[in-house]
Amino acid sequence: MTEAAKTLPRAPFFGIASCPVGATGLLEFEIGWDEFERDVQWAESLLRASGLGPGDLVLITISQWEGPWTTPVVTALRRIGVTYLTAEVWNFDARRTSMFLQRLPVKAVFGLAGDTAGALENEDPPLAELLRDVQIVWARPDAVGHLSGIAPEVLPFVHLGPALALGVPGQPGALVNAAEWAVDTEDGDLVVSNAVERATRFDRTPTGVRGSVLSVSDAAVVIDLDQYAAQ
Amino acid sequence: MTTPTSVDTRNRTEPDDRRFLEPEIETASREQIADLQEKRVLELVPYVWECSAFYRELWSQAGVNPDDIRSLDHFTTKIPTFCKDDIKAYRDRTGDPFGGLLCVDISELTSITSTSGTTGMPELIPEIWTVAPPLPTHYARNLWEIGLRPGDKVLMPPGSFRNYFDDFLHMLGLIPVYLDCWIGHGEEVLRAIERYDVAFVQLFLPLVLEFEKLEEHYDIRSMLSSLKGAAFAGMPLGKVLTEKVRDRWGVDLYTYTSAGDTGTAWEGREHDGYFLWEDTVLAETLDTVTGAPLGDREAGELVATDLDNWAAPYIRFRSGDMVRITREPAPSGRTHARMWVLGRSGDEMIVGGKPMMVGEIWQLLEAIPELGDGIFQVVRYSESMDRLRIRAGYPPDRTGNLDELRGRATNVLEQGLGVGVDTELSPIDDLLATASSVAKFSRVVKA
Repeated sequence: MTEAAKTLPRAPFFGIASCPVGATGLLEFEIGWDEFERDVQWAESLLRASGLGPGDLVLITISQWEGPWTTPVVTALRRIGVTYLTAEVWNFDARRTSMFLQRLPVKAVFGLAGDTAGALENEDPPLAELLRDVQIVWARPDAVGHLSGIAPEVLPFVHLGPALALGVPGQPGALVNAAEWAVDTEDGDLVVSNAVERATRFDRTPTGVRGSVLSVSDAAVVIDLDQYAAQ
Repeated sequence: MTTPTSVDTRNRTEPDDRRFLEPEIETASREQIADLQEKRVLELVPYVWECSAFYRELWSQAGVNPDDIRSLDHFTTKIPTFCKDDIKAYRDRTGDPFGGLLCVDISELTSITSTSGTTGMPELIPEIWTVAPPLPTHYARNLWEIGLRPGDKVLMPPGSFRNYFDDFLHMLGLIPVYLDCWIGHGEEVLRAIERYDVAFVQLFLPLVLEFEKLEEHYDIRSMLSSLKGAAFAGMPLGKVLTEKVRDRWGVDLYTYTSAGDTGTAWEGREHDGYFLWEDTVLAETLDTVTGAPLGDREAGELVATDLDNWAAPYIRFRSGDMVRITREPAPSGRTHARMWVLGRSGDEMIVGGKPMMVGEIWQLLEAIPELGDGIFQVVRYSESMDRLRIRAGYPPDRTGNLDELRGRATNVLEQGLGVGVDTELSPIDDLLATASSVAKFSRVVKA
């Protein structure tokens, strides 16, 4: 069936998404192919810097609507040669996450949610045992409280408005691709703007995420996120 | 929002208005299909004998040697069948997480997903692919049949446990609309379909029920008018809700089901049976007691063989699905087998000494106006039950006296089934919240 599809025209752009703006707003935006490719390349360099390589197993717990933030990561994992495993983010599916962690030597978990972590805390085997040999957990803010002291490396995974913020082992805070995004603060909230042209223009768009900018270089804007402060 | 960039036409050779995505294979003659299946089977047998410890053990115990298999007929008469319990037993005995099925080194896998797990712990599904994951790739002919064409917008389904769909949608030239469609977002979904002229959406039971609740505030038919079609999977939607979606909301609803855990089988435009793509699956129906092969349209258990899976193929897998299959060509000209699902073999139950299927209970319950959504569960408290125990979901906003409803429902079931019935009522949302899968709502649950 992939052969038949080769004769079809390519989708004109990657997709349409939306992100929360401030407390109640929702901003719709398009993602173009060029910027998607740049996002994949950035994710690939960050994942390689995190120590992931061919043959590693990474468990991903995301929803499909998160594609604008997560598909660059999934695509990058494939390019690296990582084999990825898929589970849902909801608590009723936590046993799938547990099953993968029990049966396979998972090196990293990406997108762990509070729902999943909470559901597994007191199960048999408990979350602490499941994560004992996992080297990296990219956790959502609501999962962090469940992970204190039980996972060796807990790193941020945050939707920063239309941008993605990820942690890297050994570095404080979370990294945002500085080639694509400028990050600033307004009243303690992080705001984002385009650094280069993308399909949609963002100008100091409020992300609803509280934090501060730690440093800015050509490669990355490093931000400190209040929700991960306890780590 | 900026204007979309221009369309890349690549090597376009087929017109978009053709009925079938792959007319040659979709309308292949029965002989061509059989030849293709025999060729694949004769490649598969020595391959898995060499690479899969599970099949080597299973077939050795049955006294089968791959050299014995020289035709499709040899394959269906000599190769033993197996079921999920056999994989589980192998895993428990050996510690192999793949149950001995994996035919390649784990590092060669692109992704590993897993079965729904509604009837036990999920089983691993190892995948090797380049363009798009195997499961959605099998949707291609079906979405084309629905009428989707490059440039159409598709709402991303919420569930991700069977892999991600955006590579597949892009492969067909479709534009994903990324929106959280999960429970509680019905109003946003409805508005997004209207705003973006969405052409296709994957419906699931809670979303249909949310739309139903929004009927008094919105013109649902008008808001869904951009849809070329919608899909629904898992347990059937029920007659009343299906009619509502199709007739009142004007949505061309395509249901689909599992092809014996080797992929999916979808309805065509005639909505008369699920198409099994026989270049990807060899489907047999066997008598559940004798194991004998059954004829055209005879009811039996679906036994499936993966023809396009080199990672961990299922070979003569007893699916537990009770089906009828015909190989008569469809009126559309498609020649692949069509299947009708009768239920799970485990859905058969004995109550008060009488055999009973879930469908019979469903038909009676959905005739009661307050229970017309067909949200119910049979509580199986023992293998042999004296009385039928039912949990039925009611909409609190459309329900008056609960005692009266309980009595009426019990009476309807007892009259219709001829057995004693105990009915428990629960708000629909509470009952749906017990679901353990994105797509499936179990109709038979343990006490």
